[in-house]
Amino acid sequence: MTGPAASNHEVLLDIQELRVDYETPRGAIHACSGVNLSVCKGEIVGLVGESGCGKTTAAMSVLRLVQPPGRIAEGRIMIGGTDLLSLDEEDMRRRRWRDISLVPQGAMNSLNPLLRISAQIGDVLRTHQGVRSRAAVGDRTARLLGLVGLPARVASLFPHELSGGMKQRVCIAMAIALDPSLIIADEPTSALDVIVQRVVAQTLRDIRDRLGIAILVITHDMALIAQLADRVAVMYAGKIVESAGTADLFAHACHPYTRLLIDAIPSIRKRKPPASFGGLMPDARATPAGCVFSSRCTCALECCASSSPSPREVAHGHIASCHLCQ
Amino acid sequence: MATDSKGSVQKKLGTMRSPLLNAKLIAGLLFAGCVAAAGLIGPLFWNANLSRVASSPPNLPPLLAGASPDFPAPSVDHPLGTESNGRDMLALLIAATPNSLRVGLLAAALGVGLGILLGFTAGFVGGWVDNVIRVLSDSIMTIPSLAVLIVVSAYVRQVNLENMALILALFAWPGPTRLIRAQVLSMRERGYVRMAVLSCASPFDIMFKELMPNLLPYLAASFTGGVSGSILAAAGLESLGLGPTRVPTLGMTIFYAIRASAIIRGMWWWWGFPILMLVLIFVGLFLITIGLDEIANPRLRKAKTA
Amino acid sequence: MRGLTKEYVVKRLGMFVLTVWLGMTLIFIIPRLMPGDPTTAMITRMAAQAGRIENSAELIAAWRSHFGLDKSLPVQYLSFMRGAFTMDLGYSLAYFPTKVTDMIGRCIPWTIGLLVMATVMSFVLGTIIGALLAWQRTPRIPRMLLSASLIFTSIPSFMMGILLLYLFSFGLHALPFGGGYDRAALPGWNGPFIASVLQHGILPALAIVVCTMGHWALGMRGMMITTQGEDYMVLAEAKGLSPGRIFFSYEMRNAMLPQFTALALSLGTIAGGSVIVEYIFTYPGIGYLLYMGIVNNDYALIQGIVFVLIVSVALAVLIIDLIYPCIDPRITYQRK
Repeated sequence: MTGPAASNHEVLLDIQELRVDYETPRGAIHACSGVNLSVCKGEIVGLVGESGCGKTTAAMSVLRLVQPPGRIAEGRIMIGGTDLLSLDEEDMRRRRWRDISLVPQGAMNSLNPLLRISAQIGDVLRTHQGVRSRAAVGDRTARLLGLVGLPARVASLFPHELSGGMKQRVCIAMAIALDPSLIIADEPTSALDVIVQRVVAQTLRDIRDRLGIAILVITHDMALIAQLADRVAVMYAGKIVESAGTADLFAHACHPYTRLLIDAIPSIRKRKPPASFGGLMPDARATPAGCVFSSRCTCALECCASSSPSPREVAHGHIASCHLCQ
Repeated sequence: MATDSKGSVQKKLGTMRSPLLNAKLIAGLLFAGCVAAAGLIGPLFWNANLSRVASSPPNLPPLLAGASPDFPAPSVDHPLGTESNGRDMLALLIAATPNSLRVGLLAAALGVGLGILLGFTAGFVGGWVDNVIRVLSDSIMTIPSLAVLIVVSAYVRQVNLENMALILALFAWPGPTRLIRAQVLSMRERGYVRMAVLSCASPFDIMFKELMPNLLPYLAASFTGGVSGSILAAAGLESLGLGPTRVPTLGMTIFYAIRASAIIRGMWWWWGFPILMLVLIFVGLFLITIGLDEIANPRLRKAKTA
Repeated sequence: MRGLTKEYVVKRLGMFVLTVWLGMTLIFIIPRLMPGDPTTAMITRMAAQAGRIENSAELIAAWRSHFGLDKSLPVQYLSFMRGAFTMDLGYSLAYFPTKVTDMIGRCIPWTIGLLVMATVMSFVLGTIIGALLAWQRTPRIPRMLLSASLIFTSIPSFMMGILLLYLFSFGLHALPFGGGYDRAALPGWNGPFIASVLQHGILPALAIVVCTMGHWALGMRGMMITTQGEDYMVLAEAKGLSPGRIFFSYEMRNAMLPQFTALALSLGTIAGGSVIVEYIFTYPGIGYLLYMGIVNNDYALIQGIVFVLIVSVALAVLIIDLIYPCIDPRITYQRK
């Protein structure tokens, strides 16, 4: 569980014991097995892990956008005292984008190719705030685009007329349109070149600094997290294995998996062979008896294979699930 | 949205047994099978010579129609009735069905064969070859094939089945070509094909070992679609009287029926049974085609349960 | 118009010309590749119908020179193409000296009326049915009914026409047996005439609509399902947009584009199918005229009609191609 990092911040989003399964003819795949995560107001939290660990699924669950055959099996997602999973469809629809918005993975294909940018931003303004007049929509759109550093003329363009970085920033502009309290950014910098990555990361940071919107950043890029996030949660095979403040995590990571992730970041200062570690994540259909990472862990103890470690606070604001970190 | 790793999971799921046991595919195969069986095994049970002119008493209604004042009483010897020229309907169906099927199969085989060849070439080689093939196939698709067929058949009355199949194939190849070209183009960029190219596999190897297995459902659907279309075109031409006169076909039977005003005379069995046979063939092929489509595109399968 | 670059228009016009040329060339070449000589065959048939023909050898020679069949193949081809381009389709062989263009002109309005109306109705209905089948919120029972209606796709429209004729005309005596209008009604813009035109047009139109609707429905359903899997659909839902807005502006608009392409590609088949439907219903359109031409061995008429058919279909495809960039903003920017 990610405990309160700074005790004067109130908790905005609290995911409790989230379990998400994908039903397949060969058995249910447990994409999330008991995820606990919280985001405080105005905080940037990073959720890192390798492909297939379940982080996108966890994020999508917050918006209740898990597509069949996926199914939220258990858990509570609390925002402002309400459990989102208990709302009916229409209530949820109204809360979407107004309270929580999304900057999707693959902004390349996330914009409707047949609508102009102004229409796509105007969509949410009209649906949630009843803004109908063209002039009003135009004004708001221009202001939003300005906030992300895009010129106002972008509003009259079609998605295919924009570059990848511009499309990503349009998505960010769309995400802040209704001044939500939380933005979920799913791999916001993947598929972009390094310079544009920097611009996008900077934009996200600006958004938080100027508008006070909390951001949950999902990524596999540890370097991005180091730059951007206040707190980090590391996910592996459907579980959060470690979470801490960013500086704390990078300096004093104790879970073996986190250490491996940090070591794998190429260094500009010293030459070292690219670190990789063998093995694959365990079969997500079976729930292993012991620690999920034990099959690949180089420091595994005998007890690791048989008993699953529970999350424990190893330092202030630093929680890990590992027998070695006590 | 599926990344490559998710894509391979989907492929693995797709080769499980359940997709092949698609209900539509099986139903379609049953229909088509019955029709084919009628044609192939029929002669063993019923005297096919009764399909000749003047071999039976004319204008008998079928058994289930019961007696009527306009026509002679039905007889057990001719359970499906007879027509004005003295042909027994059951024998006629048995004799005509294989001929109608044969035209379709031949034309579709030629058309799809040509389509595979041209589609692969266009998609794989690219460049001006691709442009030429694409322009040509788009042109031919736009030309109303039936109109051209009518002109050709009108000129040359003695069209035999094989020639008709050849001409039908001429209009049958653009569809499969387009389909296969599109698939090859999209597959060419997939990871596993690029790997094969990088590992210096020969074009033939790539075509047959990498692309072909994934194309099989599309090819099969193309083929059944082509058979259906060709039989339809042939039946259409024959209904206008432009078909072969020496061998019985389902379409020509309809033509004779219309020419003898069978509709007004109320002799529904004359045109009814050939239509029924043809409809069975089409429905069967149609079900097979969409069954194969669902196998090829797993999303169509999922949509039903959503 | 946005999206219409000069080179795009030129390319499309080029396709139009190519298609017409190719069609006419096929009509020219294929019969001549077949065994048998058309003139002799024609004479033989006329002889069989009319009794012995005197001086058949001279008659054959005269026919040949009149229709240029004694000249070499390339010359024949050139005069054939010249005639087509100048819209001089010659004189009808059976109803000499009526010009082919006049005969076609009289029949075209009927075909346009029936065919265009039926095609538009079938396209619109089929697309809507297909979209509803793909939309998850369609309730169960209409969904099953709609799926069942797709079975009619397998029945060719002319066979459906025969069935409908038998049911409604012979069986129920509810609708007329054939023809375009009641012989007793005076042609013109008057009530009884228009009523009888509509009455005579119901069955053929019904046959066409019911049997072609399924094709559009299936295509639309497939397109909608493909669209539903796209990334922008996820974002649309995440934006909390109303289901109606998502359905129309996001799903349907994107799925409609390939539908129009499919429409353009199948116009040729539709035209062919309508010929036979008109024949079944003796509806006084081009299709029936074509049939009469076949019966009378009127080659000039046949060629003329097929030429008109090819040109009309190619023209319709050209129009759709030119409209396309206006509805899909991506087209101009596509690399060739």
